[in-house]
Order: sequence, then C-alpha cells, then structure tokens
Amino acid sequence: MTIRLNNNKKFILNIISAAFEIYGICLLPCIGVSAVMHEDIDYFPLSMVCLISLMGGFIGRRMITSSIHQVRPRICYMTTLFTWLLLIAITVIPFYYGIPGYSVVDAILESTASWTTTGIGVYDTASLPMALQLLRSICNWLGGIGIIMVTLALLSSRKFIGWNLASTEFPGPTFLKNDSPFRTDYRKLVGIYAGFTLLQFILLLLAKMPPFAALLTALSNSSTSGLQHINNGVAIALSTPVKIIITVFAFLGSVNCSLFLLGIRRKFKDVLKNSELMFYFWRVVLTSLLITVFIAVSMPERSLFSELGRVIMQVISFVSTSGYIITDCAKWPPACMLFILLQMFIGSCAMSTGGGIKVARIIIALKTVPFSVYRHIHPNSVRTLTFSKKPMKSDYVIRANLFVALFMITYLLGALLLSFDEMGLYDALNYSQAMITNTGTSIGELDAPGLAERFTPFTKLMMCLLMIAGRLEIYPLLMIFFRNFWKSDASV
Amino acid sequence: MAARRVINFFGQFMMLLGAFMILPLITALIYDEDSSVRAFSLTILLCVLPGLAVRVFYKASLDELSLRPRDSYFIVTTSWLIASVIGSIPYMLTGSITNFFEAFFETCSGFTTTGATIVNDVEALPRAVLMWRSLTQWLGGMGIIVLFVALMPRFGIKARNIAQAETPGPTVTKVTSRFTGTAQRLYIVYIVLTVLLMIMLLTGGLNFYDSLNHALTTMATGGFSTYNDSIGHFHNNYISWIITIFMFIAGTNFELFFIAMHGHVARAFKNEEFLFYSAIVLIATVSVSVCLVLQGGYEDVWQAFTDSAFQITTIVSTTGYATTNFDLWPTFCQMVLLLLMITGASSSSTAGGVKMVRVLVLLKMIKREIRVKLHDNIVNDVKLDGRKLLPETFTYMIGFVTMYFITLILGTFLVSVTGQGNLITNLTAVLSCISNVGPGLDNVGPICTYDFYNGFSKLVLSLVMIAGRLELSTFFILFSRFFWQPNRV
Repeated sequence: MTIRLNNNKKFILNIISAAFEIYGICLLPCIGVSAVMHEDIDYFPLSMVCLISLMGGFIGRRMITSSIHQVRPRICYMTTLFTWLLLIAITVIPFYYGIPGYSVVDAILESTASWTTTGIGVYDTASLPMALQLLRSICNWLGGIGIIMVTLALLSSRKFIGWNLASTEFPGPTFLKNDSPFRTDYRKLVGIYAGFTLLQFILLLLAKMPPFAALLTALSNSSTSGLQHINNGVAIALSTPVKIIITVFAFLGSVNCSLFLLGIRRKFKDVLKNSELMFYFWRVVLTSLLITVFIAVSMPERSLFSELGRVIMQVISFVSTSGYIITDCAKWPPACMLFILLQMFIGSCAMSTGGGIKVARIIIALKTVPFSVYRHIHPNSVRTLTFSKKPMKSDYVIRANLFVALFMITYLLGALLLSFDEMGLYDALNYSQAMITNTGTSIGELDAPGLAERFTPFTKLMMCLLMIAGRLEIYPLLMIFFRNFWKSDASV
Repeated sequence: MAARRVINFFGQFMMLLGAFMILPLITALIYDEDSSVRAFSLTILLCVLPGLAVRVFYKASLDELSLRPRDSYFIVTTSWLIASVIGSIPYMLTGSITNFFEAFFETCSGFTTTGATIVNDVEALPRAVLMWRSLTQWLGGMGIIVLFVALMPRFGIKARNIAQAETPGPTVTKVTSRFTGTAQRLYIVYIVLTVLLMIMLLTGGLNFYDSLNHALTTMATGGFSTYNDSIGHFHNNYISWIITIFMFIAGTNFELFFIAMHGHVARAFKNEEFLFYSAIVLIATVSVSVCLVLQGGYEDVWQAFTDSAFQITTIVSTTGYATTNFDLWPTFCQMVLLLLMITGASSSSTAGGVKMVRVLVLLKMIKREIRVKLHDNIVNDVKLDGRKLLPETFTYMIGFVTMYFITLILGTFLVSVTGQGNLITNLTAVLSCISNVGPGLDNVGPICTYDFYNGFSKLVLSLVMIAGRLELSTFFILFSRFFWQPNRV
C-alpha cells in the first residue's frame, strides 16, 4: 500500500509521530504508579494510550520520513497546532475512562488544562487516582517547555533549522543572535529545564516533602502550572522552606530562558543589562511593596516584614501565571486585586513557561504611548523606539502592540462567550482572564480556586479554547478560520 | 508661543460661551425663575467683560507671530478646561450644585457629551439650569472649537489643525476647499438634524421644552434627560424608536451626509465604516433581544426588540439614555453593552469611544498579520475604502488603542485607590467616562448616579472625560516634556 504524500504532509506527520513517541515514553511512569498502587480503573486506559502512542509514533516516524530542508511558516504553524490538538485529544482518554463520573467535556477540560499549564480542574484534583495526578504533572511539564521543543531536542534526525518550528510554539522576542546554531540551543534549553526540575525535586525532598508530592510539585511548578495536587492549589499550609523553594522556581520558570543560555555562555553582563528581566524584577518588587502598603493601612495589626515576604511569594505566583494560593490573599483589600489583575495580564517574560501578554510586549506598548505623543509634536522626526538600547523596526512595534490589542479582544470576547453561563459579569471577566493567561485562578474566588465543576459543558469547552489560545499565543488557533491556512504559498 | 493671539482667542471664546447662555436666560425668564435669571445674567457678564477687555486693550495685530500647529493642542485642551470651569458657575450660583468639584463634574459630563450625572433628583433642578445642561452637550457634541472656527473664520488659526485635535476619530477629510467651509457644513447638518428630531418629538406628544432638551442631547449623543428615569419616563415606544433612529444617525460619520448631499448616495452607503457600524448594531441588537427573551424574562418579543435596540444604540453611540435598568439584564447582555462602550460609533460623529474605524482597521491588521505569518513573503496591504493605509497610520491607530487601555487602567486605579466602589463599578465608571457614554454597571448603573464618589474621584473622572473626548493624545500632549521645550527632539 502506498500513500502519496507531499513533503510538507510528511514533515507534519513525522513530527507528530515523534511527539507521540515521546509522549508514550512519558506515560510509562504513570503506568508504573498505577500498577504499584493497584489502581485498576486507570491501568487499562493508560496502557492503551501508551501503546497506541508508542506504536503509532514508532511506526509513523520510520514509515514517513521527510527529506525537507526548508519549512514554510505555514507548515510550522500547522505542525504545532495539530501536535497540540492531537496530544490533548489522546490525553482525554485516560481522564475519561480513569475517573468515574467524568463526562467527555470534563475530560477534555482536564486534559487541556494539563497541557496548557493552566491549573484548573473539574473536581478536587487531590482525589484523583495517583497515576492520573502524575499524568497531569507530566503533561504540565511537557506543555510548559513545549512538546515540540522537547521533540526537537531529543531527536537527532532533525537536520533542518528548527527555529521556525520552535518559535511557533514558543513565541516571543529572543535575545539570541540569529547566527547561533539553534539546534544546540534548544537542547541546552531542555537540559536547563530538566535540571531545574531535578534540583527542585531534590530540594523539596530535603525540605521534608513526601517524595511523590515533591515529584508532582517539581514537575508542575517548573512549568508554572500551579499546585493543583495540593488542596487544589491552596498551599497556605506548607512549611516556609517549601514555600520559598516553590517561589524561587516559579520565578525562574517565568524568566526568559534565553537568558539562561547567555548565563551558560558566561555573558552575565548581558543578562543584567536585559531590560525585560529588569522590568520584570522591579515590577515584582514594586507591586509587592504597594500591596504591602495597602495591607499595612487596612490591617495595621500585621507585622510588616513577614507580610512583605508573604506578599512577594503570592505576587510571584500571579506574575508567573502559576496561580497557586500561598497566603490569605482573599482577605486583601479590594484595591490590591486590581494590581493582581494587571499582573496576570502582563504575565511572565517572553520565551518562558508562563503565559499572559508577556513583559517584552508590554515594555514596547508602554514605550509606544509617549512615542506616539512625541510623533504628534514632531511629526517629521526620524527617531525610533529602542529596546535594550537597540533601535526597533516600526513593524516590530506595531506587531507587539497588535498582539496586546488582540489579547484584549480575545479576553473580552472570551468573557462574552463565558457569559452565556449564568455567572455574574465579574466572574465572566475573571474566568476569561484566568483561562487566557493560563493562570487558572479567578481573582473573584481566591479562597477556593480552580474548580470548574459547576459550569455548563458549553462554558467548559469555551474555557478549553481560551486556554489553548493563551498557550499558543492566539494566532495559531485563529489561523484555522482563515482560508490562507489551508492554501499553499503558490496558490495565494 | 504666540501669547497675545492665544489670549485673544480665549477672550473671544469666553464671549461665545456667554452668548450661548442667553438661551437658558430666556428659559429662566419664561418660567419666571428668579435665581436662575440672576445666575445666568451674572455669568454672562463674567464671560463678556474679560472678553471685551481683551478685545479692546490687548488686541492682537495680524503681523503678530502666527500660531504653530503645536499650539492648537494647547488651545483646544485649555479651552475645554475653561469652558468646563465657566459652565459650572451657573450650577453653583443657582444653588443647584453647591460643591465645585461636583459642578465641574457635571459640566465636564455635559461638554464631553458623557451624560454621567451626580444629581440624584434631576427634576428638582430649575428649568433654566436643565436647559443649560442640555445645551452644554449640544455645544460639545460637534466640538466647541469647531463651532468657533465655523463662526469666526478669519482668526488666523489653521482651522484644520484645530479640528483634527477636536473632532472625534482619526480622519478629517476636506470636503470643501476651505476647512472653515467644512466646519460650517458640519454644523448645518447638525442643526438641521436637531430641528428635525425636535419636530418628530413634538409630534410624539412631548411638550416644546422636553422636545428641545432631548433633541439637543440626543444629537450630541450626550444623554442628559430632564427626568430621573430618562426616556423610560415617557413609556412610549414611538418616542423610543425615534430617539433610537436619531442616536444611530448621530453615531454615523457626518461627512457621509455631504457625500450623499452631493448626489453620491450609493458611495455613502458603501462606506466601510458605516457598513461595519450598522452590522455591529444589528448583530448586537438581535443577539441581545434573543438573550432577553430566553434568559431575561421578557414575554413580549417586540418589547424585547425595542428595548434591546434602544439600549444597544444608546450605548454604541455613547449617548447613555435608559428605558430600562439594563444592570438587571442577563450577563451576556451586559457583556455586549460593555464591549460596545469600548468600540463607540463612527469617526467624525458626535460619539466617543475607540471608534468603529479604528476597530475595523485593527481587525484588518490582525488579518494581515495572520496572512503574513503564514506566508512570510507575501505582499499584503491594508485597505480602507479602497485606499491603502500607510504604516504611519498603523502606528497612530495602534498607539491610540494602547493609550486607551492604559488610560482605562490608570483611571480605574486612581478611582479605586480611595477604596470606594467595587472593581466592576470603578472599571465601568472609568470606561463610561473615557468613552463618554454616561451610565456604567453595578453602582453606576442606569438608575444610579456618580454622587457617591468623593471629590478626588470626581475630579479624576472629569479629567478622564475630557481626555476621552479629545481623543487622548490631544490631552496627553500637554504632559509631554517635548511639548514645553519645543526645540528639544
């Protein structure tokens, strides 16, 4: 039997197969846990999915080889989008058959939330079978760094320049020079990411966390997903050293990972001069200080110093779009909520595991405003905007601003779709934001976050769409609705 | 800066304001309101005397340094502030509103055609004051400076620059060979429509006073009413529909009327912004009426459609009347209204908000961005009405949208800082002020007022209204260091 496929289709199928193979391998620990814990209900579905993924991936990768050297952007977007959608689809199976009482839509929500690092669950996540909790965390981890990135790093057979492909999944401005061999870079990135996760696991063990919980925490927290397995993300009861470890690694996970590469190359000066990192750092500090001042005014009985520490931890949880609750922020004065809301929109740095609009874009947008005022005064000026002291093309400025606008539009339209469910306007806006920023925690419900049990199936599906849109930075999902996506370059 | 000319301008501008106060003065005489007669005659004197003094003793000669484009921003913003301060004097002199910040808020809300009010019982105010309140909206609707330019063409100001700083929307095209002509024609259309609306309202059974007031505030998309329960007071679907239609007209680009008057009716209807605006209004109306029937407890489909059409048009044209309390509507309807508050209506109309043309161009840019992302070597221009848009235009448009959201966030923060109101109240209050709508949701909903805010919040909201009315950049330019040091680049 011969299937006639053109090179592009071969390429897409090849990458998808490879991703499935990796996914299949990652499922093995889950099956192990299931077998050891005698969780009969999820053993069979997990093994089935693992088998299908491994077989399909193995066969697909060897049968469909592509000898493509140049990949068009359209094909890259297709690859990323289809890989993500298919992986989310196949992860639905273990959740659906493994948890009694889950409908298909519930399972889709659970799977999407896991892959997009959103940190929302349908029911109490801690009550799930252990194998499925591990599955959630593994999907968090793969989704955080990006499954395509992991695939590219692990497969030696990819000879093409993977930058185009990786950037469709892991978008945002980089600070790496274009001439650097990206192939070694993404290997290093995945290495750094795995290293951080391992380090966090060991530190958590040293801080006397039980091993399984430490493993789940390390996997989920490195990918800034939140701590769904601990009391639905309410981590107030944890000991202080554990809280500090979690905070540090959530922060590291939300920093632009190209800075770590610069660090490896010992270019520490460049790292410190990076305006995104500086903005990010000062933003955390100033927000924490302001919130502490508000708390000090409204609740004078609290000790300022220890409160500042707690506020910093909570702020990092939100800026990194992890969304776990680490202090009693439900009692904060209402004005603080506005800060948190803003911080969730801005989100973490570009090229990090966090979500949101991304700091780099916000810096550009904030510079655009005085710049456009300046242009009104000096219409004929040739001055351009600068970023990290380098001039930016106007095209670039427009793109960054356009994304900010697109993000706001998607957020508002998302709230419109969610408002079909009979929730209040405040909840609709907050849930839309929690989904599109991949935080998962609605600031309207800070004492018991992250449960989607009461929503209608339609709302749950809309939430899934918003999560995927937020994780892939909207454009890839939007492209499906355009004819150009399905047409080759030649026919446009 | 050509100080002499600027001061002369302000002098004449005050005289113009004084002249318009004759209308409420006449109202006061007709209805025999003594305090109002005193208040308005005193205010007229306050306006005219300095104006005359400047004219006589400090007259600018023609060989004086002429005004530069940059000065127009200063003139426009300052004129609006002056107008708002002077306009609040009658409120205080009649004792209708005693606190200055509140009177200032009310006047800003008038001139910027916002229609947000702090008066809990409107019907208790003197009729002359209500007349003045409606008149401020009518003057602000098309732009007071544009009116000035239309009336006094030979002042030596580049009228076009001024109009660009004041007229809503990114595009002011020259319809006639001289801009003054355009300004005059804009006002002719405006006056004709106002008179037409007044006659229609009279035939609907309203008395002369109510018709005049509502015609003034409808055409300006202002939204002040002489009754506490706004248009809902009349319980009359004919009135609702007349006002709906005229609000829709007030939200369309007024230049289209010229194009139509010159015989190009088909071209006017093919205008992309107009089509987009109509489509949005239609879709919103239909979906909201369906939602009202399904979730909102409406039994009568026609009534649901009437209410929804009225409320959608009043919000999209940033008028802000109310026939029902839409704060009690289902969340979906509220969300639609919230979105329309942001978009606003067409450019070169009397409406506020981001403006349909900007939303349209934004969507086109997103579409182009997707095409370019998919096919990286494609040539793809964004066109509007068949004309290619320059990258320069993009920068301004996108800069405006960003500025709009930043102002919204900053305003919400400043209003929230004093701990009043919840987030939805504060957010919709600022949104409503920046888009010049009037009512928001929750505590500033259609049956509530802005009275509960403290002086600081009221001042912030007043300034946000002016900033929103002057399309943000005209207002924010005054805060740029480059503006005050003209030679610095």
